[in-house]
Amino acid sequence: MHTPIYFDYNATTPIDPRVLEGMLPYLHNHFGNPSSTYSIGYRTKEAIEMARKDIANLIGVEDGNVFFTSGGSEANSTILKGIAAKSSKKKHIITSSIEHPAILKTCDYLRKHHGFQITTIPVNSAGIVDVNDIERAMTSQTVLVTVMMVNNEIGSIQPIKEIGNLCKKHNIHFHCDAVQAVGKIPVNLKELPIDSLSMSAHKIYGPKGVGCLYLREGVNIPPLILGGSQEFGMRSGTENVAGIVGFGIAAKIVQEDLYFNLTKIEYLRNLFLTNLHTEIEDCLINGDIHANVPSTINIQFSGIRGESLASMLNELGFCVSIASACSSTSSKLSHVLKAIGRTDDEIRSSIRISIGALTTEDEVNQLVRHLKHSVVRLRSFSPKYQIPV
Amino acid sequence: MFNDIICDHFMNPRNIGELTDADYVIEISNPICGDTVHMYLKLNQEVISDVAYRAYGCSTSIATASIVSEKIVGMSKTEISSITRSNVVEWLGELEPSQLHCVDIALNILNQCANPTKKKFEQKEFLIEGEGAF
Repeated sequence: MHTPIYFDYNATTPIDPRVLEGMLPYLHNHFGNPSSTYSIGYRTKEAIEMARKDIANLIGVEDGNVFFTSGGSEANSTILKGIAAKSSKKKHIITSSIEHPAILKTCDYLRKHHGFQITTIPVNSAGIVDVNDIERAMTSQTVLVTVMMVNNEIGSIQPIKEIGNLCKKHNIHFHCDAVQAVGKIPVNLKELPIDSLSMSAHKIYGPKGVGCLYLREGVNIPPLILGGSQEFGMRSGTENVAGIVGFGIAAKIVQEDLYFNLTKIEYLRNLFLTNLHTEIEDCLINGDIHANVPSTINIQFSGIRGESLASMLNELGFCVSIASACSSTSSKLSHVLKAIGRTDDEIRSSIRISIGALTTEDEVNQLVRHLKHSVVRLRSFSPKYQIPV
Repeated sequence: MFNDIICDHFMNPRNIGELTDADYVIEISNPICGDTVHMYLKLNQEVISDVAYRAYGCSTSIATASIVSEKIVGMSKTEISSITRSNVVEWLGELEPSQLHCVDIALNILNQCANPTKKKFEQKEFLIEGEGAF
């Protein structure tokens, strides 16, 4: 079987060979526990601190404010539950309707089990929150605003600077889930008033199972995991040394390659869209291409199901993602596409294509060719699509 | 993912299309997931002599329509009515939980094939999960 052609970089990314190479010594020779006081322990501790510096440098913060976690979800849970645990009086959180489940489900947990009131701000048809809506939702009880930087399904970029300024003005903690932003667009916290931010290594060509939470100086929250007081007491548990080392190398590489990749991916996105609209009828972009990161393209193809299209593409050797799980008994449709006003049928007919640093022009051309073949074929099966005369 | 039977029938569905001289048509729709099958039947003395269909839905439901269409050609209405859920489960092969609703799609198609009444597509009939015909 041929190696599949990968168009799902928002789901995860292949590990960069330089990252893997850098990690390997920490999976065998350098096995010491970073908390140990002898030399092999000290060596791994040093490696962790080097990675912390590289990651801090990537987002423009001091390294002492970066805390390693098992990934983006843990980072999000740590800050949301931490803020909630500290807030005995104020019980109101503002979020957006297009957040990742790591945020939405934690908010729902805080509502159900800790009496928090959650205000979910809608988005416009481009998938962007209105800062005025957030200000209107703020009350004297608001303790936290949490809005993602870039949406994972449609790629819409949120007005983070404006939201941060607003939160600063009202003295409300602003958390930003930047898992889909880091490595795709410049994220410089020297210019962005963000109180906490979460990141994940495997979205930036690093290993799975490691991420981090940035906390602005002065933000104090209780840890989610207690124990041996690793990560300055913020996250107990023996460190995932190899993972952290890989994360650090990946951060350094994406920082160096950011503008090159951004330009290249924008070119490939434009090539894809030009070919798509030339070759395939009755397809529509979900969201606004001009308000998105260029790496994410969410498209609906009328008359067919995204699931069957993705399956056919998989059989032909391409990996793409779908906007609805296949289920006949429950509605598992994308909450993001719903939030931008798509109908159930439109959501079912949508797929997500995400481009990454390794995508080539030839792969994009191949994808369009096989996409056309699959769409035409599935439409010829479908009683819901009338072939234009 | 898909078993080999589903994969084969999804990538190469048998009998796909329409019959202009169909004796009967059947229509299966699921209001929740949107799966739809429009099937055309040609009968010769109570025996299915030809079948065609168009299907909209997940890959497993498209494959299911293909599998059923292949099985019923040459069967009498009585033979079709004797087909059981376990027969269908065997035809479709091992399914993942999210694909199990296709057993009901197959049973619903078979139920209508055993007692076809419609001459043309008139109204939608919604499949009720877990209430297979047999």
